[in-house]
Amino acid sequence: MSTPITTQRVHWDLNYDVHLGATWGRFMQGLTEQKILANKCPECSRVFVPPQAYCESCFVKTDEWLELPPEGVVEAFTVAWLGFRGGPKPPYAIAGIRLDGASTLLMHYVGGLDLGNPNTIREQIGPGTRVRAVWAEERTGQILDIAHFEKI
Amino acid sequence: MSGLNPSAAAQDPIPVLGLAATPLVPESDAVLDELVFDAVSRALREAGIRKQEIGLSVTASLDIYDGRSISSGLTNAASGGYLAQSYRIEGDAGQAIVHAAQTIAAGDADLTLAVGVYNPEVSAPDRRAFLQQISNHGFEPHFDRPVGLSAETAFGLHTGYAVDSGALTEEQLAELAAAEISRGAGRPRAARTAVTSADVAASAPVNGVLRELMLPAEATGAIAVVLGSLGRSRRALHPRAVITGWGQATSDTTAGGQWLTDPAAAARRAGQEAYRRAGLTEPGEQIDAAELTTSTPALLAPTVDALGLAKGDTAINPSGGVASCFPGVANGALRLFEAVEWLEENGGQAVSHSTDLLTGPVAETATVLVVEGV
Repeated sequence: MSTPITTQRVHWDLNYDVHLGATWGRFMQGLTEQKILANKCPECSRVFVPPQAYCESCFVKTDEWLELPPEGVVEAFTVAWLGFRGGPKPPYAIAGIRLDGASTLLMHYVGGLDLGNPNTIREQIGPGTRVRAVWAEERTGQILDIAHFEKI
Repeated sequence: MSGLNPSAAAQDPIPVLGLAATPLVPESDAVLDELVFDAVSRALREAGIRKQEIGLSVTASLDIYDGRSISSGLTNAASGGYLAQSYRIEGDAGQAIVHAAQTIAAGDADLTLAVGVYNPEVSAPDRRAFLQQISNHGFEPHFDRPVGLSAETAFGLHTGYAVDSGALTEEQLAELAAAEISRGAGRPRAARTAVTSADVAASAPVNGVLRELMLPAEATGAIAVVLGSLGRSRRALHPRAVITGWGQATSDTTAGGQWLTDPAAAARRAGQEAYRRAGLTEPGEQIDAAELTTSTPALLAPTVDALGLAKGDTAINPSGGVASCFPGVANGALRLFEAVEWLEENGGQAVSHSTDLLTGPVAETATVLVVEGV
């Protein structure tokens, strides 16, 4: 008896040019110059990085820009032991980083860690660890112009 | 019907007239609309209602799982929506149930149907990687996607945050997961067999301190719910329960960070609205059981607390919750199904809570239903 045919493989191949808008466009331009730009809500004074065109809480436009230092503190940290199609090769480390002066978290890779032994990860990094941006040699206006963060 | 006298405090009591599920299996060979038809036709038959009597059908599904850019074009007729009032929402079935209930409460229909269907169109060996790829696509494309964020990563970040803050230990994570899985084991819809905390701790590492058996038990299938107005329901065959309250809310974005410090904020807001509609003032004392979507052990305590159930004798996840069976975007209907079956056995009032897990605890939409036994 022949094997029943149960599925047929289908492939989607779509390319998008996802719009950045003026706010994120300015941020990405800053990255090419090794600058991390943030903006501020005029009412609640929260500092956003990534910047936002408006404060979702106060519901007003943000209008003040500032440059933040490329350093901050890890608030949360994990290592992806399994990957996904089209994603980074595991294992890789990701942190929620609060840059100095920011009210929000920037998610990014953390490099320079020994990920060979899961039991030693939390000895190397955790909440409160200070990190600094490591810039990519070639910068084209994308978040990966910061190659990763590393411990200071 | 005797017994169909919902609490007078409920603002808009909506009886559940039919509930049916396809077999919930690791992967179904059926086409999506076959799954939908199976669940819907069985729910209608149980309710004693013909397709032509349904005033609105709402389907919960997600095109990107379904491999079709408008998958509702396929499932609409199977939901009972052929040449009738129907629409689809891209999200958890809990939202579809709320829409169906709201339509009756608004007086726009006497009978409505909600159905959730989930069978990601990728075969088992590739499925986890496929689901996480889709999850990555669910994140913001300029900042989050390029750094490999996915639901598992967000859950890993939150769980690590909880461990680092001293809320619980890795051993406790394993114990909580084992307890839920084992509680559900042997039940008709369980996707996992009983395990020990050592089994959980020894399962494959997935993200941070999270192990495979600490994450939801993936299953596929369709689940349908038939709802009726109170007046129409008094002529129904076998009302199974009454939805007395519902609420929905969304949570914060990646950068906001509330998903780390207050991961059940959306559940809290949805619960408050559901309790208000149900006329509940002391949920910890008034709710007898809760079927929650606590996708990791670290989300259990925050969710129980957010729903006001931390104090009292509420049975939490008597079915084992999503650690025992998680049928993707059909999960909201399964949580209601489990809550209704618990009420049929024990009576009282129950809560079902659901979210889709597309981006983990980030930017989630939570649905809370309050259900009363009949």
